[in-house]
Amino acid sequence: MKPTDPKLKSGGEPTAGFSTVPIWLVLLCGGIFFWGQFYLDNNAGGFDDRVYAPFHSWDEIVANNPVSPEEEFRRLGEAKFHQTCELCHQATGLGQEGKAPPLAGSEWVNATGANRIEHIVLNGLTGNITVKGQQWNLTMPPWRDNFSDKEIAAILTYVRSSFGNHGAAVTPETVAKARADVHPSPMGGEDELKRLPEQ
Amino acid sequence: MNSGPLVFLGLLITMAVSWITFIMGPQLQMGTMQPATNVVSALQERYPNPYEGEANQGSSVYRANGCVVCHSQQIRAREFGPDLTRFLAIRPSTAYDYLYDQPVFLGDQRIGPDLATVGTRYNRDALLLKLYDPQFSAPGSVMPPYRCLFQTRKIEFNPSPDAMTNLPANLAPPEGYEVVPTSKAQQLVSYLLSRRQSTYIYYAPPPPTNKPAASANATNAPATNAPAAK
Amino acid sequence: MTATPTAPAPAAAPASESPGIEASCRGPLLNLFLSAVCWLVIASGLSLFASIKLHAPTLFAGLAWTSYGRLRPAALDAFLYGFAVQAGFGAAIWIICRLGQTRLVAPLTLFLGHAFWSIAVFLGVAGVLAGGGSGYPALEMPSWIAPLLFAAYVLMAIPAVLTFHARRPGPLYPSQWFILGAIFWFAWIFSTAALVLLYGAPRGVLQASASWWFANNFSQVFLGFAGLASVLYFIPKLTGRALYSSHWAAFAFWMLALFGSWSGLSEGSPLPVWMSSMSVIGTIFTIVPVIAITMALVYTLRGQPEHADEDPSLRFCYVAASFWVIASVQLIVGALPKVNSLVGLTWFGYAQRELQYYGFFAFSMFAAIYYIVPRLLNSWWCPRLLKAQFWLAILGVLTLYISLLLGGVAQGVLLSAADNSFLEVLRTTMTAVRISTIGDLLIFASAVVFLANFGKVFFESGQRVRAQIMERIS
Repeated sequence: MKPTDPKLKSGGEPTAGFSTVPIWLVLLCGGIFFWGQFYLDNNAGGFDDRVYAPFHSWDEIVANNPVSPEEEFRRLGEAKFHQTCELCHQATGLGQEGKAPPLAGSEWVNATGANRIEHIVLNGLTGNITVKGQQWNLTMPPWRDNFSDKEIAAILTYVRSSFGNHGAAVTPETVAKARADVHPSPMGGEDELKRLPEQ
Repeated sequence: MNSGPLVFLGLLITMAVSWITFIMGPQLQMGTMQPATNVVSALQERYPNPYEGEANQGSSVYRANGCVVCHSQQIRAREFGPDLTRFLAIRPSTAYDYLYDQPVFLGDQRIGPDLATVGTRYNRDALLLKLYDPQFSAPGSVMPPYRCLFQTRKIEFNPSPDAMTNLPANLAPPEGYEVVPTSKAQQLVSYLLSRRQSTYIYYAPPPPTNKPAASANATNAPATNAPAAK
Repeated sequence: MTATPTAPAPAAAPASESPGIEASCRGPLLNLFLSAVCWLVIASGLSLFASIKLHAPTLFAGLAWTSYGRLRPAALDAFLYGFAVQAGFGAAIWIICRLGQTRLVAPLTLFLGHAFWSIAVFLGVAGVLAGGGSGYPALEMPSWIAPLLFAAYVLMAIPAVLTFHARRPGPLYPSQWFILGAIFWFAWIFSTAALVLLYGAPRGVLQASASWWFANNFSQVFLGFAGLASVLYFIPKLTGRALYSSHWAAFAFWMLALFGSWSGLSEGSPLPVWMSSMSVIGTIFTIVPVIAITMALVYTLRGQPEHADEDPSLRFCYVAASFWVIASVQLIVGALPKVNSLVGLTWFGYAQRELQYYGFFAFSMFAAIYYIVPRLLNSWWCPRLLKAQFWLAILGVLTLYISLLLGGVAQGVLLSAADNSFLEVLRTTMTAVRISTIGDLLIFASAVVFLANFGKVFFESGQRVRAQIMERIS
């Protein structure tokens, strides 16, 4: 094919006109800019790198978090309870036949002092125990090697403030005192428990 | 707009705006991010913790096989879909979850399910079987079987302790042979088991209800070594 | 809107200059284009293989390199680095030479750059198949390839910039800004991505944000600039009309440069919310360049009578421009939070990228190649193969795009209900994926036909050269 073949003709280079950009397009830009400001106000979390979806501001995150050390302590106990104790005592704290007695409304849980239930958790329990008028004779393993004082205190605080219970919070100090009080493990039923002071 | 240098200058400025906003700015803000110490319902002191060696090696296997092409690793909040329910996640993902990941495999597409919490949904044997034959546990799955990560070999003297024992009948090796995962398979599974995102941190507090999203039944093993209750 | 004064007809090319210009670029450009077309065949072939593996996953189960996770990134790399950059450079350099009415400066540098680039891309794609991929989308290559690739890029860019600098004095045509934009943009985004991702080790999600930034800049800005340079050059040139307004093109150019580079980070990802919010705003701003370019082209063509003997490149330009508008609008719609929460992480995004690559960019390069190569070789295409390639490509892209678009939307809608199990939804969307494989097949066929047509032009040109030599001898 010769270079002069009409198929290969090049034509000239393109040129461009000079119309101005229409004003409505500029206004559209402005409109998007304006909307963008609102969007950033609501959704940019104040350009704080600690704010992740779905939260919109740092204040929202603070509001959703435990607001006091007590609440945080309670949530620790809640997490631990649901991870371990729930397996037998059930998530509702109602216990189950053949597995564990109920914690909800239990007189042992709601006692003034938590000494006895601290000993149960630390050392385990076997033999007879009466809970809410019902006889239970199962075996609970000791948990002294699995949880720290703080964790046991948190769990007991949670149990005493949930499932309709009304006991006061438990401090890690009292748990430490109960831990130091050496006992054969597991405890031998409510007779041995009743020999412990309540506080 | 008729001067080359002016066009270049304009391009430099526009590129700089984008570069500063999305590369340098975040680096200045988050470049020295440390693990979070305000862990809610403190099950541990800080989050995340560095991964064990096998998990890091497994991340190379994940990268080499292009797992990120089909699987994402980001749990999104409730307003973006039911990720929390579908993938048994306790909270949406935050940047802290990926602090020790190198590279970060957030992913662009879910041809396969999200793997951010896969360590809480499967155990080692189940994952090995999934890699060996994905279609067995998920009929109709389009995941390719990664047979190259396994070795079928003759049993010498005694079966290997690592040999796969949960192979279904139609995949079982011939008499006298065993299927053993290679070290790459074990590393990959260690990596996948490290994908948990199961700690509440201050920046992603638990949902307002009292009950945590994941019940004890959904996980494979409790985080602590609780002796089995009678 | 002020009506443009009737544009003067484009000046006829000075007869003495054009053959000299063509001769100066012939060798390097033919190399670039031939290499690009071969890589297109490889890329679409790998893509087809990957697509087949999606519904036959047990095929070749023992071979690690045939898994979808390696084939898909390899296919993408082959397309982006093998076809897109090389074809883009070819078209860019030819346009720079023609618009500047100057010969190509430093052709040997271009030739060297192209050689290194081809080697680097080959090693990169082979590296991904062998398991050396980096895990970052659009930057999947073993890390040691990146410096080689960048050096090759610089070697290719230097002649382009020098040729631009040696141009005849006069006003710049929009395509020249777009080409400059593309050349510098790739250098900056690639060097940033390689340094930050492959050699640096930023903490956590900063890697993901950098990788999404790079992938989007490559797709929306770099390919956008290079493809629009071609479209904005050929449509006015081949229709004999002036581009409606250089100011509109300038407005679109700067808007795309400024805001197009913000897109890519989606809401809901584990990045701080300010990053994804800024990205959404930037994406929405890119509606402005889409409107500006669309209007400029529509007004340019207003009242355009149909020509029976119009250059075939024109059809490719129209298709490319249409696909660009659709892909850009889809990107914007997909970034809206309500839409993203439904279709994010589904086939929706994948369909948009495929339309941008195989739809918009490939067609804009086809237009350029179909125009340029005959004028370099003084040989014409086989019209039947050309027509076949056009229809195969357009049908392939439409099949692929529409099936995956609908599949993605269906996947998103179904997954938004918590009681649909993931596996069930996957099975439902596999229908769309199977149809998309047909699209991949058609695209592969069109690439093969293109290569065959290329071969035909080369062969004819070679025959003629041989005949001329024989004439001289005898």
